[in-house]
Amino acid sequence: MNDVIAAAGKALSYGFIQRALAAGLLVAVSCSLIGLFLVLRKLSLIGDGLAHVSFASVALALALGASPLFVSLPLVVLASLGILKISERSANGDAAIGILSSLGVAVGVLLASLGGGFNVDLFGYLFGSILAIGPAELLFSVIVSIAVAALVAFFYADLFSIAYDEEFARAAGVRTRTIGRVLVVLAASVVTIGIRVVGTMLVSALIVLPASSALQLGRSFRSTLWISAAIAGVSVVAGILVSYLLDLPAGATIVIANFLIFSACFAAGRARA
Amino acid sequence: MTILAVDGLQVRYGGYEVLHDVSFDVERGAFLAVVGPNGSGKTTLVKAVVGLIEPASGSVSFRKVPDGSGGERKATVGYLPQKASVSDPKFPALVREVVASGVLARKPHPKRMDARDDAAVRRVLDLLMIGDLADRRVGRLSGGQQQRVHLARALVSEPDLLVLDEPTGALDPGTRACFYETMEFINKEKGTTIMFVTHDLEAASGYADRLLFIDRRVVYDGPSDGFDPGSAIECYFGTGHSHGAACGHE
Repeated sequence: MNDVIAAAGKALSYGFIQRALAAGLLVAVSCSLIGLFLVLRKLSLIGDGLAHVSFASVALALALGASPLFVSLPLVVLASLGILKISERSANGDAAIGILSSLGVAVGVLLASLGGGFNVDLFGYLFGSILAIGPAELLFSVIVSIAVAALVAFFYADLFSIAYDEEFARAAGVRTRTIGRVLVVLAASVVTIGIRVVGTMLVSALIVLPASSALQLGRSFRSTLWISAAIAGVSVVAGILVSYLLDLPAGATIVIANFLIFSACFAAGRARA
Repeated sequence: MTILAVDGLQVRYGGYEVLHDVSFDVERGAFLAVVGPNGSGKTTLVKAVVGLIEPASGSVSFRKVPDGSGGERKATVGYLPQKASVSDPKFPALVREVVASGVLARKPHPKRMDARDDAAVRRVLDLLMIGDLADRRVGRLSGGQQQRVHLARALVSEPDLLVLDEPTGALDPGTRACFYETMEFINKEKGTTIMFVTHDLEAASGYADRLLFIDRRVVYDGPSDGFDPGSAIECYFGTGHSHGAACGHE
């Protein structure tokens, strides 16, 4: 046990681990904040759909020799608004997510194929490479995470009102369509910064799992939001340290840590009910 | 004093006309029941009144009312939707959070509760006798308690007109009577104008002082004690009988 603590302490002294923890904590917490609103509005799958779109945007950025995060942010935001537009017109959000999701993967595979197949860089964005995060990406993640948290705080009352009862909110004067757009744009932003942490294949787990865990324990809405953020933070720290100590992929380890916490919360929720 | 004027309201869903040339006024202090058969457009009417549906033609206008300091302001509306309760009993919301959302929805950004808002929430919870439920989760309450919470949310901003869409549809008979008595109290003691949709003709004529019978258009508009369902139906189907003012919209 003492050896493990000593190894963990040593790990924390490395710059790349510190950067990974800083970026991972910020990204995971912002994903969890948005995740609660998405899960309660039954929009959990939008994270998955946008992650598939981000696969195409990362492939495009790598083909162009540009930064994947900078290229992905506007493209994934555009895709999120596209999903919303299709949902509003056809009242079928699932289909809209499915359409853009499969299109994203198809375009990504085509671009990767044209660019000479799946290289190490693309593989890193598919499954995450948080331990390799650089200072520029860390700064980008910090800015986006702070912006997301600030916007959630600013629109908190409206986001709650719409999640609880959209019809009442609209009748009471809340601009529900605008708030809906804000929510999907924030979702697109956290997906974009999340792909460096756990990769396009797993980023939706950062959105869905902490929120689903917190829903088993939280009493009030505010406490559920805090619990969701705390679970996201603990999962990232545990995932990064375990991945370093056992030489496992960090992204997958973070998701497994999230799932184990969800299982415990689910069992606790069932026992309490 | 009129606080709501509906004039020549026409609502279409696709090519189907749900409401045709519906006109009526609501006087301040009125207790108005909107009744009619299934599919008659009752819910569409209240949704148009609260601004959830854009009419194809006609208008819904809220008139000015005294603001209490010698001036005037536009009348405000509170709304209790047909399915106000969240479908997910696990939704993590306390009673006070839900009622507070009725205050915050109307505030400008950044929307924050202040001491006056907190007092308004406590006042309305006490008025509806659910003050002891403030820190309970809404999803764990009975149907009748949930309905009171959502009524509190609609009332907390002290609207001039309270619009309720089938407020007792999911309640048992005892809870239903209690709910109507609460609405009667709010109308008579607090002076809040009430417009509610119901299928329950007995309750409509028992509690409301005015009744609006619609079937895509106004069939009857008059005092609830003067309403004869048989006459209204005859009037509606145009069997040649005259019912005077009751059929004034024919």
